[in-house]
Amino acid sequence: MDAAASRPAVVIDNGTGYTKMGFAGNVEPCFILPTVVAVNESFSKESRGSGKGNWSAQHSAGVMADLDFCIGEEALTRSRSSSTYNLSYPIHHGQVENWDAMERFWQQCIFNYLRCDPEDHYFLLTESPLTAPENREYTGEIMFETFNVPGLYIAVQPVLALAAGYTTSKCEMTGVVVDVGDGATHIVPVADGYVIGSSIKSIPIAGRDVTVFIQQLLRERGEHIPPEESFEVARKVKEMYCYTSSDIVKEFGKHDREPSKYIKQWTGIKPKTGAPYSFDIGYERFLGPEIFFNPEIYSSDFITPLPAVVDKCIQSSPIDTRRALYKNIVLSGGSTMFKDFHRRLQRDLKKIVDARMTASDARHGGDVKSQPVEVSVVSHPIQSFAVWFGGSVLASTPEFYSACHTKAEYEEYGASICRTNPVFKGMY
Amino acid sequence: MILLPSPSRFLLQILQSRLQNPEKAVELDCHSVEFDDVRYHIQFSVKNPQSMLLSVSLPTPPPEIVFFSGLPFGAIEAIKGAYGVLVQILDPPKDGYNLTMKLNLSKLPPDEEQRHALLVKIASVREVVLGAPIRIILKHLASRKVAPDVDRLVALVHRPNESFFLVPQAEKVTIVYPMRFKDSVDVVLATSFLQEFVEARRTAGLNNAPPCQWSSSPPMELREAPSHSVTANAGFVTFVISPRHVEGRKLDRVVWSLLTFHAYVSYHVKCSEGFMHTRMRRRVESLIQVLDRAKPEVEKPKKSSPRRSFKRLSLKDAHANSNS
Repeated sequence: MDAAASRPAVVIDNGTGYTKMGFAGNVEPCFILPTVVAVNESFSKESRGSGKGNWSAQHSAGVMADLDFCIGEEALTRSRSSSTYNLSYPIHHGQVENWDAMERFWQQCIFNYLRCDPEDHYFLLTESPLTAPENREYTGEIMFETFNVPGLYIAVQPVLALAAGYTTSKCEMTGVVVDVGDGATHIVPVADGYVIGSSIKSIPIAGRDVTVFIQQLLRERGEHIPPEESFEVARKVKEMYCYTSSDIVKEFGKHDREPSKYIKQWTGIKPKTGAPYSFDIGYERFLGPEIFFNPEIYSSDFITPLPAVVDKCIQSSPIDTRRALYKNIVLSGGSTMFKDFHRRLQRDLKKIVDARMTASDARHGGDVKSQPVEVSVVSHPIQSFAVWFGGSVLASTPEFYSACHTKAEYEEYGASICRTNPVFKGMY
Repeated sequence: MILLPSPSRFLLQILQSRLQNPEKAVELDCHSVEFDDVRYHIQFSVKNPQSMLLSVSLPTPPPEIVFFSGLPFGAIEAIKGAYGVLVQILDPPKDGYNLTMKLNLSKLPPDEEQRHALLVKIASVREVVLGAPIRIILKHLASRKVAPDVDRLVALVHRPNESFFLVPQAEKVTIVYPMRFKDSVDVVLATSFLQEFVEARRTAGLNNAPPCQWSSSPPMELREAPSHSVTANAGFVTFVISPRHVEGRKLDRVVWSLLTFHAYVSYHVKCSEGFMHTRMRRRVESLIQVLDRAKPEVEKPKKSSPRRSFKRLSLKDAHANSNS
């Protein structure tokens, strides 16, 4: 064991919306920032205009373009105030799409935010369960070649989310993780720490869709929101005011009866003119999260509600794990933070399961009574960064260092060592 | 842009969020590690939400450097000078740390601007503690004196088990950095970077910057230094600081830049590696495009008309076909 192992490992969870980063052993990530890079494009355009002859000008323009970028909140404010910066979101739907931007993002994360020397720390990065092996190799290449990390472990997000619950209650590594992030929703069954790869389900509705839906509702009602801000405002509305209702019809009734109690006001300032504006937030408070349970109100392509998908996922898993899976359904990701989301999911899932039970009991004619299935959805306050917390727990165990891919291995075998992930090599 | 700022973002963020919502007095216990093995440990308790326990551990000093009760020369005075009534140094420090301070946040100045300045100062505790000896020497330089009770060659720790050297004189201070890197690629990149760095100093715009030299062998100033500290795989960098560089407010910046010169170079090396990879990736993509364009047009297999169905050959027919 080398000197680097005596320092805490760096845990970075790159999500589509937000990146969580910090040191292993801490309870909270040090920083949570939007995964976005603002790049100054003006240099490269100028140099192209000036002709081919001026080599040195072109060179220095390239260097300047390399240096002039920023990430996170800083990037968002910078791009709002000047038009020379272009925003680029390196991750789409849980997959890294733009590796140049991703490399810059990591560079800033490590040097400017965490301020650590990557040679001194082991690294734990996360990926979505559907990441292609090539992408994993690419990540390994960047980490070992550019940052010279001594060791790297690429963990699968749902397994970490399960591990997050590990310390709080009991040591349970079997469960279904419902991971609803900003860009991707996955339902992943895990048995004894191994992912059941064939039963992973994903649905094309995630946090960003909630935002888009809210934006659409506000626009259709004719609220006066400056168009350039409407997405950001919708996101804020989602994060601050949305909740899950138990019954939409009742909820509509409640809103109509007591509008003063349920309808909220939003005030903001138009970025261009500086004039203040305000609008009402009404039904979108509960209609936003409703798209997970009644997707037909949002899209016509995908109309299976989330509880049904969870049920289908468990039904496709091996039969001996199903009861355990129903018993431990873990939520993770920022878009599960809506109030009472877990209650609604549990109730709807319970309905499906009970209906199936009574049907099968009726088929058997009442002489065989099956044991009732326990359905329980686990929710905890750190849900929004459960993956990061799981990573922090995992990386502070001594076994973590032996599970890492080390730099020596990388130099011996190349990036292919990152290709496979042991959690997929279960018995299934 | 690519400079490392002196205050630690993490510390600053914790302090600011603490002061913005004081009612959220939760217990907090977290640690963080910075480059060159500087560690922080921050504790808040529920009982006393306005006082913060901040422990700092410094890089292990090489044998030629003596720490006074775990801290560099002059550090305690520097802490007291910087934070005043706010701070109480606990003795002995927490196990495994060099310094433990108790900061009383209720004694912060009410004025918004002053308060922010002081928070930034707390967040740059690293500069205050590790930079204390340089600050003393440079302060004397500003008044053109040699600091009393200082050796002819002062060694200061900047990385675990590594030091850099100062030669204080009345008119100038010479600073020598032995540059060491672990990775062989880093060594090459750093060497060429440093040569460029020295070259860049000679351009007209930087006439007022401190003169700077790079050599692969130890310079004359290090004659008296212990032999283990004069080996360096990326050469030696020498800066000469004269009094005009440390006048007035420039002093803080000079202290921080000198303290983190090695981190600055290694940050640059890592970044340039990253940018090279970006270029390489772009190049590969463009070459693949060229290759794709050069491919001969593949003739599309003629579609069989959908009306005609395949005739199933019986064994006899197949035999007849092969004969014909």
